Amino acid sequence: MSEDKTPRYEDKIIEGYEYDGITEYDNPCPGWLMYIFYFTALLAIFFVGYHFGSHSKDELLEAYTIKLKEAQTETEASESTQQPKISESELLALLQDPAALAEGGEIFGELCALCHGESGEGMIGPNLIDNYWLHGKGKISDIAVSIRSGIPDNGMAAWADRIPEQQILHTAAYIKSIQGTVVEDAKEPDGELVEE
Amino acid sequence: MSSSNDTNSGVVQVKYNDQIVRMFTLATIFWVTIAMLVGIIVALQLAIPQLNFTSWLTFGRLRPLHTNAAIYAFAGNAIFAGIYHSTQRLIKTRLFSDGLSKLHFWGWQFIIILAAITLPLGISQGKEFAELEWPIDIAVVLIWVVFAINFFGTLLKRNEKHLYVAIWFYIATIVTVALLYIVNAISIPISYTKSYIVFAGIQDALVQWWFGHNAVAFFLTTPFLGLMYYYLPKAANRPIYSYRLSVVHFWSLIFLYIWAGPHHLLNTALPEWLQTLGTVFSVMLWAPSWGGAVNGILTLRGAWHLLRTNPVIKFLVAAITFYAMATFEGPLLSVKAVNSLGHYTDWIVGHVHLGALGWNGFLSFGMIYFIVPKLWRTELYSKKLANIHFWIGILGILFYYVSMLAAGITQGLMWRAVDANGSLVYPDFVETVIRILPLFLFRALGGVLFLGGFVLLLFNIYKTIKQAPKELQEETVQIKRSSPAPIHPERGHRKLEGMAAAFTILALIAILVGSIIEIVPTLSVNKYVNAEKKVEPFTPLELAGRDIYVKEGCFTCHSQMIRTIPSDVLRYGAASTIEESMYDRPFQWGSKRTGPDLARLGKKYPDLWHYMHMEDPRAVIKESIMPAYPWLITSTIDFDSLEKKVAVTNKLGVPYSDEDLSDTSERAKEQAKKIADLLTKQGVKEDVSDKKITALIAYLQALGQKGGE
Repeated sequence: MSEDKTPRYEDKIIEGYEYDGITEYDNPCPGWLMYIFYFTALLAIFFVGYHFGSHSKDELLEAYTIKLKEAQTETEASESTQQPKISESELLALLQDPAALAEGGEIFGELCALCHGESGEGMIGPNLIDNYWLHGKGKISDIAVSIRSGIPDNGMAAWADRIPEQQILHTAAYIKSIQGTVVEDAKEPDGELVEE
Repeated sequence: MSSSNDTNSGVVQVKYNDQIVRMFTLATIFWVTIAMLVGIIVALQLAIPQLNFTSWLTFGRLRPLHTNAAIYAFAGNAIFAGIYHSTQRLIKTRLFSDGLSKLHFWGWQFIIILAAITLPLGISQGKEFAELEWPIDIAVVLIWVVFAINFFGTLLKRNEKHLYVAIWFYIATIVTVALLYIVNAISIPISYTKSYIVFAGIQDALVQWWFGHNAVAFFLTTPFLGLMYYYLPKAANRPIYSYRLSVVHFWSLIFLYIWAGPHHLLNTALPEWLQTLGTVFSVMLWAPSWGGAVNGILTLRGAWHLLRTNPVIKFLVAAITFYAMATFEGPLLSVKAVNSLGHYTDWIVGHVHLGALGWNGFLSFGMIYFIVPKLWRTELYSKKLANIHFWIGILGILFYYVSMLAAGITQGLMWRAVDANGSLVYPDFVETVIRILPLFLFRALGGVLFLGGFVLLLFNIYKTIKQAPKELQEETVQIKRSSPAPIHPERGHRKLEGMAAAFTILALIAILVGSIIEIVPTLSVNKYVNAEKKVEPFTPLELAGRDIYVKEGCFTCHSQMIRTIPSDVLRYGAASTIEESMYDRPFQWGSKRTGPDLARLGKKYPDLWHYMHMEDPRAVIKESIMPAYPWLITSTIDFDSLEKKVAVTNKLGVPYSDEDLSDTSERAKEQAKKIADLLTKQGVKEDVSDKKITALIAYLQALGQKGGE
C-alpha cells in the first residue's frame, strides 16, 4: 500500500476486505453522478408517460404525414408560378449554332449515352429520337428540366450541380436536334405522343 | 491438482496457471494485427472501389470478417487472458482445469480460423456480428460452455470468500453472452453452409439488436470494466475510489443495458412502445456507464504523477476517457431526433470505433504492457516505445473519429436537405457520397496510424519476451485457508459477494427482466401484423436471389427500411411497414447506408440497368463506389437446393402455393428464362438463364412489390 503522507482526502479504507492487494475506499457515490441518474430517470418517466398517455400510438407517423403534406402543397404552389428563364424561341436558336450542338453532342456521348444509347436510340433509359415523351412535351426547356433535376424515381441523375447551366442547355438542344433520326433496333416508343 | 495442502497449519500453496494466460495474450496480439489489417483494407475499399479484387475479397464479405475478428478474435482473446489472469489472483485459486483451459484456447482459435475461412467465402447468416453459420455457432456455444465450467469451477474452489467487483462483471459477461448468442442463432439448417433463422421481420430485427447491442454491452463493456477494476488499482497501487459506487453502478448497468437494443431501430417499423423503451433505457444508461469511468478515474486521485511516468496508466486512463465519451454519445444518439440524423451514417461507425479503438483497444494494450513483463518475469523492453505507441494511437483514434463524425453529419444533413419547394436538394444519392469520399481516406489514415502504433507494441513485446528467462516458473503463493472471522456479521451485498451461485442467479434475473418484457410480446408477431395487408412471399427464384444478396453482404451497405421521417419518404417512397418484411429470414433492414436504401427498389430500373450495374457499377453511375460483381454473371444458380429452402420457409409460416412447393426448381427456371430472354433482347450477349445475376435481378425487382404497404 502506498500511503499519502499528507492525507488530502477523507477517504476511509474498508477494513477486512482485500483482493490481491486491492482495497476499496468507503466513499459514497458522487452526488453529481447520482443527480444525472435521477434526471435521466425522471426524463424517462416523463417520456414514457407522454408516449403511452397520448391518444395516438403512431405519433411519428402522423407528424411526418403532416409535414409531408405541407411540403407537397408548397411544391404545387411554387411549380405553378415557376416561369422559364429563357424563352423557347431563344433556345431554338441554339439549333442553328454548330458549336453549341457539338458541345451538347460531346456531353451526350459522355454522360447520357450510357443509358440512352450512343445515338439516343434508348437502352436502359427511353429512346430520345421519337416524339413520344415521358416527361414534358419535348421542348428544349422541358428536356433541360429533366437534365437539371433528373428523374430520381427511374434512376436518372440530376446534373444541375455537376455541369454548368450553359452546357445543360446545349445538351438539351442537341437532344432536340436528333429528333426524327432513325436508328436500327431503337427502343420502342414510350410515353405520350406530342404532335408539333 | 496443483495445490498441495499442508493440513497441519492450514497453509495452502497455490500455483497459478500462467501458461494459459500467456497463450491468450499472444493470441490477442496476433488477432489484433489481423483485425486491424482487414479494417484498413475495407476502409480503403470504400474510398477506392477498384480494390475489391475478387469475390472473396469484396467489401461485403470482408466487413463481417473485420467486425468478427475485432470482437471475437481480438476482444475475445483479450478478455480470456485478462479474466484468467486476474480471477486466479483475486480468489487465490488455480484455474479449475488445465485441460479445459487448453480446450478453451485451442477451440476458440479453431473457431476464429473457421470464421476467417467461411466469411470470405460468403457463408453467412446475414446478421451483424452473428454472421457465422450454424455449425460454427454450435462450436462457439460449446467452447463458451467450456469457459463457463472452467470459470465457475474455479469460483467453487476459491480460497477467498468474497468476490471482488471485477469478478461480478465476469459473471454477468459469461451468463449473458451465452443467452444472447444462443437465442439469436436459433436457425434451421438447409445444408452445412446455409440455414434460415427461425425469427422473421420485426422479431428478427428485435432479437438481432437485443443481441447486437448487448454484444457491445456484455462482450465489449462488462468484461473490460472487470479488467479495469483489476489492472487499474494494480498498476496505480491505489485503492478503488468507492466500493458503494461499484455496487450501484454494476447492478444498474447490467439491469438497464439489456433493454436498450431497440435504439438501433429508431424511426423504423418497429412498434413504437419498443422504440420508446429503447430510447429511455439508453438515456438512463448514461450515469451507470459513467459510474465505471468515474470510479476508475477517481481511483487515481493522489497518483496523477503516474500518468507522466507509467505507460500502462496512460493507456488505461485514455481508455476510460474514451469509454466516458462513447457512453455519453450513445445515449445522445438514442434520442429519436438525433438518431434520425446519425443513423445509417458514418457517425455510427465513428461512435463504434471510439469504443473499439479507444476503450477496448487501449485498455487491452495497457493490460498487455502490464502483464507481459509479469508473465515472462522480466521488465518491459522500452517504456519510451510504449509512450510513442500511445501518442500515435491517440492520433489515429482522433483522425478516425473526427473524419467519421464529419462524414456522418455531412451526409446526414445532405440526405435530409429539402429546398423551399419541398423537394430534395440532393436527390442523387451518389452526390452525398462524393462529398464525403476524402473523409474516407482520412479515416483510413487514422486506421494506419493506429496500426502503426501497434507495430511498436509488437516489437516491444517481442523484445521483452526475448529477454525473459528460459525457464518460466509458475507464480506460487502461500495462503491461509482458514479465513479470519468477519469483523461483524455480514449483511446485504457483502453477504451476497460470498455466495457465488446466488450472485450468478441474481445477475441472470437482472438481465432476464428486460429481455423477456421486450422480446416475448413480439414472438406472437400476428399481434402487430395487419391481416388485411396481404403480402406475397418471394418466388423460389427471388428467394434464391435473396440468398445471394445475403451471401454477398449487400446489407453491409444497403438498408431495406424506409424510416418514418420525411426525408426518407421523399427519397425512397412510403415508409416501410411491419408486413413487408414479415417473411424475411434474416431481416435485412440494415444498419448503414453507404449506398441508398433498397426497400422499394423493385421496378424502379429496367433489368438491363441492374445487369450492367452489377457487372460494373461505374458503367451506369460514374462516381459509384460499389464493388463490381462480375462473377454473378458467370456462376450458376443452385436450383437443386431451392426445393428444400422453400419447404423449410413454408414450415416456418411463409405461405407458398402447392405448385411452388412441388415444382420449385421448374418454376424458378421458368422465371429465370423470362428474365434472361428479355435481357438477350436488350443486347446481353450471353444466355444468363441459369446464372446468379438473374436470380439477384429477380429479387431486386421484387423489393417493395409484394404488397403490405
